[in-house]
Amino acid sequence: MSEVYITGIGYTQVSEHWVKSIKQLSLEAAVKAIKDSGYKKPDSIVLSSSLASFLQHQEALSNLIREYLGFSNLHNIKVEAGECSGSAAVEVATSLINSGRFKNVLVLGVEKPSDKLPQEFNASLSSTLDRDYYFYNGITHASLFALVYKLYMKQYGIKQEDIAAFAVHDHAMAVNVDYAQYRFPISIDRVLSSPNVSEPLKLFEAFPTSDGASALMISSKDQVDNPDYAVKLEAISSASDLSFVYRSDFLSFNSLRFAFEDLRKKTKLAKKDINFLEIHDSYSIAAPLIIESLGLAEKSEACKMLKEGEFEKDGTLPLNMSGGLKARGHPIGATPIYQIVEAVLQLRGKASNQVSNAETGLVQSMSNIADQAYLILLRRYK
Amino acid sequence: MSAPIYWREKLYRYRLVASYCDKCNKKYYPPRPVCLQCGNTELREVKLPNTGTLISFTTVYQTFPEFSKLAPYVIGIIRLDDGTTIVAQLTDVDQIELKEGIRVEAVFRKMYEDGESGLIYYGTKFRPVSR
Repeated sequence: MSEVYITGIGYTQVSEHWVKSIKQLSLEAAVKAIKDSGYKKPDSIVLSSSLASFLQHQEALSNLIREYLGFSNLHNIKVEAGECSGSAAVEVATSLINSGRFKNVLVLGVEKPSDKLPQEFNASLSSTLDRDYYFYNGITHASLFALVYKLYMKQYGIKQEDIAAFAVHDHAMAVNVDYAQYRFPISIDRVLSSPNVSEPLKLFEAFPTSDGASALMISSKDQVDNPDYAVKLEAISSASDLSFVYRSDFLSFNSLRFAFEDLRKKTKLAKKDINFLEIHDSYSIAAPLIIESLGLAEKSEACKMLKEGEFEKDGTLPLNMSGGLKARGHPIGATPIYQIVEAVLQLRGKASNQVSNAETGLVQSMSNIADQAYLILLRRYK
Repeated sequence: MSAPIYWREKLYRYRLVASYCDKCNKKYYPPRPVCLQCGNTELREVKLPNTGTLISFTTVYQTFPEFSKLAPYVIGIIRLDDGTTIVAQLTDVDQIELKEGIRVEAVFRKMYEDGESGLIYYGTKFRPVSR
């Protein structure tokens, strides 16, 4: 595809930032990314936020943030695509560079759900589903995953503890990750004895309320002045699927299958070339469905692969070395950019759970229950 | 929600009215203007059967402010007798042990209300068919 590189990264701790505003978080991440890029001045800011219009009642956010960052006049645009807004923002930034219009674009993702009560956050998240139908009927984001959870267990004869183990895995990884929200291990018993969100889905199988901002400086090749730090945005593929209620097969995410077919066509990527994988495991059950829909595990086999250690740092497919959505956290519009930050750290050889000799990483994001999905392939510069 | 948003959608919410593509023999609920398989824009309204079978269900504990008084409540995937699959709320299930495979029927019910003096919203839920 492209000759577009990530030349800088910046991010805040993922947490519940009671004392910081959406603007302050944005500033913190942006300043770090600009500094990390060797003080490049961006030609544009592409902002990703999905819920600020609900949570902060703020629109025209990119222009507001542009001013807060201290740029009196700078091109800016907000990109919104539900939970994969961040990936879409990277795609737009890449196109702006590939078109020749700009040399350096700052992609900035931010979300701050702790400004509202959890119920209101829940309601805002329902805005990424068709509210006329899902909200009206009381169908929550989590309830769709819960419905599929039961179908998955029944279809393949798999126990809840084997699926909930993905949450345990995420926490085990996050212990070492300095920017992760929950840096402590949890036991499977603790997960299974936590309250129901939407049964059988437990609280400790679901992503938390996470605030955070993350930023990337995306640059054309001639702007790369530190090859040891630059990471190539090798390819971006996206696809979409029918709304949940129209699907005939609930256990396969078509958007991911289509996106991966497209990615492999573009890059000739072989499965064995993927040195690590960051996935959008908003709920534990999402993990096996994503991995199997991508064809990186046979149907029903993902939980077995986890048990056999294949997703560990030294396994065949290191998974969510960042702690994933469960433990690193899920600041909605910023999440895909945190995933890419983790990939950049891995490819620089500076990650907390460093995969040895990592050259190629795959980042997967999606909105809702894979209504829309993105895959971003990243490669080490040298 | 506002009155206009509510009013224009009420037909399919009160009754199980779907859109039907003659070319694909495919029904869509909620109804839509264009067939997702063939692009046909000449879809016609059809009434779906009121009875079906429960495929999967979940009891929702964490929900929106509008539904929090109702929680915990049950959401299910239902395969109607003509094969159309829909996702809907279940009701009248307090005394019943729900199981996949049970028969359910559509009923007209209140969904939620905008506070003490606001609009009351109605729609379709499903309840187990009594034997």
